[in-house]
Amino acid sequence: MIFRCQATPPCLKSLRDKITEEFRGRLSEQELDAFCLALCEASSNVIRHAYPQDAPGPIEIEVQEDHESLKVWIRDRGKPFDFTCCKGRPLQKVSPGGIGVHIIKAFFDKICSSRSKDGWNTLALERTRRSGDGNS
Amino acid sequence: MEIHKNETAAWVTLAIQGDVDLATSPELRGQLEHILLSKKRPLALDLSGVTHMDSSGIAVLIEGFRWAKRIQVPFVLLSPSPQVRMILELAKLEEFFDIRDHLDDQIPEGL
Repeated sequence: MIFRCQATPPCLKSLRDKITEEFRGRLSEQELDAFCLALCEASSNVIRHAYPQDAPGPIEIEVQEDHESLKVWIRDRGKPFDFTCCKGRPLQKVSPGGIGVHIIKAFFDKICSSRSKDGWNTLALERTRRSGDGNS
Repeated sequence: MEIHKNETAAWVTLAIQGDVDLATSPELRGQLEHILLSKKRPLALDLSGVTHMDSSGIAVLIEGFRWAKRIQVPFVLLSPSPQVRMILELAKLEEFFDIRDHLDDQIPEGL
């Protein structure tokens, strides 16, 4: 599944609808909610930080699924950002910011950032399937 | 996202339905700011109809809690949906907020 749009806040709803349509019945309801949340948090980072607010650019989200894993690639052409260096705030300290990073890291097992020579940033995310992930 | 407001002598209740995300959380923030900082009223957020909440929504709830604390009025989360409970647990905030199943009609005391 590939989803493309301009990186603006309203595209998050469209992304969730697409993911729900694609994966309902294949993931448990709880897992689907957690997947949508983690994916939207990662996409929100692109919307908020990769592009200037008044000049959004493209975002592309590719999802591949097999028996062993869920793999996601989030691509954009904005300002590069090394997600692997980002720790988020300590959860003991209650603060409005820095929660998204924890949500992404709680769902995905592997996270890797890269930038290609033609100016595309890629955030690669992978979750190893658990026994409770599937709906069958 | 839709917000339905109900006012009694004791509480202002906002029933939120739909998704609270980067696109909609600024509207919720504006309502909280108005009720808490301008009107200085006790506020309950009915979250039973929230179908999705992301970290921007959580950030608004934390801001609301802080505003309420500053003006010393109660700030309550009512019946969070499973999607809201999930993110509260992930952010380890279940104990931070005053979460209830229902409100009583008594005029609440300040914090």
